Amino acid sequence: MLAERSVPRYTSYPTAPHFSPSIDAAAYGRWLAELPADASLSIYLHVPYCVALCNYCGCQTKAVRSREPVEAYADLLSEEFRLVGAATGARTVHRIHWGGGTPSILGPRALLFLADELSRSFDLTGVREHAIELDPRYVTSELADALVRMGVNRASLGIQDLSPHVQEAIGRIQPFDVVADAVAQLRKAGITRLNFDLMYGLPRQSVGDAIRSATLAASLEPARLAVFGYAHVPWLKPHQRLIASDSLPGAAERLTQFEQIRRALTGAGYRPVGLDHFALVDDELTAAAAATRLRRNFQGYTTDQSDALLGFGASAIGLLPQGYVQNAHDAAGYGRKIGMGQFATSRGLRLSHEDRVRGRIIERLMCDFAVDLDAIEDEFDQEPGGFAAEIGALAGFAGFVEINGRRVTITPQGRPFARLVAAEFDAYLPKGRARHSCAV
Amino acid sequence: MLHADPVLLRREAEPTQSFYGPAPGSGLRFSLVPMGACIPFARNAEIYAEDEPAEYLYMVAKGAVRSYKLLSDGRRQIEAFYLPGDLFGIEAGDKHRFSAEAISGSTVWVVKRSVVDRVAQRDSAVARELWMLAAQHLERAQDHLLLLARHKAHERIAAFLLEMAKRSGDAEGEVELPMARQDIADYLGLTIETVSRTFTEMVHAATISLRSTRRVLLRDRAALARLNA
Repeated sequence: MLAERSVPRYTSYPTAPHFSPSIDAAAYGRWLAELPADASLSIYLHVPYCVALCNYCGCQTKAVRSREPVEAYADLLSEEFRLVGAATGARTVHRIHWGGGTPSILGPRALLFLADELSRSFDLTGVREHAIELDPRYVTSELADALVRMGVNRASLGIQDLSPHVQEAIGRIQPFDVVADAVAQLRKAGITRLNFDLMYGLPRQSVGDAIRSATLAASLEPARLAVFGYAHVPWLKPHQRLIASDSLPGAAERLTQFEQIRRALTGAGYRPVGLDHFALVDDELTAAAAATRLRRNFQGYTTDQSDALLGFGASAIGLLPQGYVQNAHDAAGYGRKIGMGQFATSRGLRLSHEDRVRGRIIERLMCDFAVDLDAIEDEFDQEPGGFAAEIGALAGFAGFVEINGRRVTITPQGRPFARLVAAEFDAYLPKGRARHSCAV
Repeated sequence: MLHADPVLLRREAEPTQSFYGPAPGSGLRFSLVPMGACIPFARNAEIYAEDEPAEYLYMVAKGAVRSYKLLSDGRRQIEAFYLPGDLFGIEAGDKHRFSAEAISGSTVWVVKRSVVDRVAQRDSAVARELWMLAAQHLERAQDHLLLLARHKAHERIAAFLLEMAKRSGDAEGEVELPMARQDIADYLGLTIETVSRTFTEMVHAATISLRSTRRVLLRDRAALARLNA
């Protein structure tokens, strides 16, 4: 069955497994120096610590019991701000996003300190969106107030599933009341743009569980929801061995869960955006999708049009006009480099012209579910009429893909399989040995 | 081509009393400066290595230098930091006991030891100046010893910040710290995690604040002095 094939989620192209150590600190330094002074920047900050690990966790993080590593990390992040700020003439930041781990584990004081330090190296006065990922179990009014003082105007809460037996299986007990309370605290402090993350395919999760969770989540009226399928990759994330693979829904049931979540959310007034996001009618994501201005990055679907994404912290990925860079995965490795006054770049990839062309095609397919190959070729000054082999291969997707001349459209029935269609344009896939999670 | 950096010859350009170096207007500067040469070193470039013959004396003209030894377990112990105006590479014997590297892109004035010996023989003021420099180095090594004898990281870092403020701080209490966190850790015998964490705690306590690249503002000197008591 189509759904069994393993393909990437295409939050980047080429995908992260293809990054190589040939892009190092020296390359990052050169690329930063080449950024024009008026480049618009998006900043991503990674905080690789949590109070405890959830069993399903696929993120780059680790559990800590004391403040000390977190405080040390805060100082090293501020060092990295200074190092990067000194290496580039670009200053203007339009977006900030804190991810992790649990970024709020830094606590109000360290968060305010870091926001202040960031403002010393970059110009944050034009920031339009300042988002942070939060764990609803640890949202207090003190934290909410600090977030507002920092300029945060969007918060992303991990909900996953609200059924007690599923929460027990994933090691994350957070009853609906806790979530509702966190939402109330945030709204009271003035943060009104809220995103919820839901998951399907979790251990012991039924279709009924998924519908119930989606409906309850929607009742709190977040601005957006993102719905992710659990990726069982215990060979990459040993912590996931706590989840027995026979407790997981099969591929067909995953598909049904997703479809039912989608139905529940659209029934509650949300518009689908891309493959796995849902937004209120008046949310800018909905407008961007309608105007084919939607983009895709490591956070998923976004309206971010910045010239460069700078990543700070362990494992953070940046995207500059020249290509991708990624910091050392672990906090210790990151700290060693930053501690020596060097960039923590451990791998990356210089984008070739072909990478950019194919990347744009894949992005449009993932965002608009359609792509006009002529328009792409035009945009990149490419010889017209290419991709004959790919178009030929798409004939195998009867019913899911329509081809009209040079325009490829994914039909509504084909949308859950958009990744597979995009994969046809991935020049790295047949050669790459990277294993990815199930296609739905 | 042997000529001195004009900056060293200009009285106005001389730094304030340097930690390790000769006082402004001392005979040492003016007799010896024309006999040395200024050499640029890139960041992390080696100036001399442990066990190499000690043929030269050095002075930091611009930038910063660290001297260090690698211990048998792979750790690095930094012996001292040298800032503009500081003389380094002084040895009792004929080999360097530590290695020296540029911390950032630096310019180092270099003079042959044999030349210094010759001048010191005929000029007793220069000889006395060299004796004072050696005594000063000894004092600083003693202070470093006392610092390392302290158990608390906060105390070591407070002592370090006050030392740096004395050497290169300005009137407002802003100090230039040209070295990375790892260098500070290896000078103070602490882990980088401890150094970083202590900096964060001192910022939270408003004892210090971190300015642009490499500048620290000492906001509460009294608190630092108490830690250094």
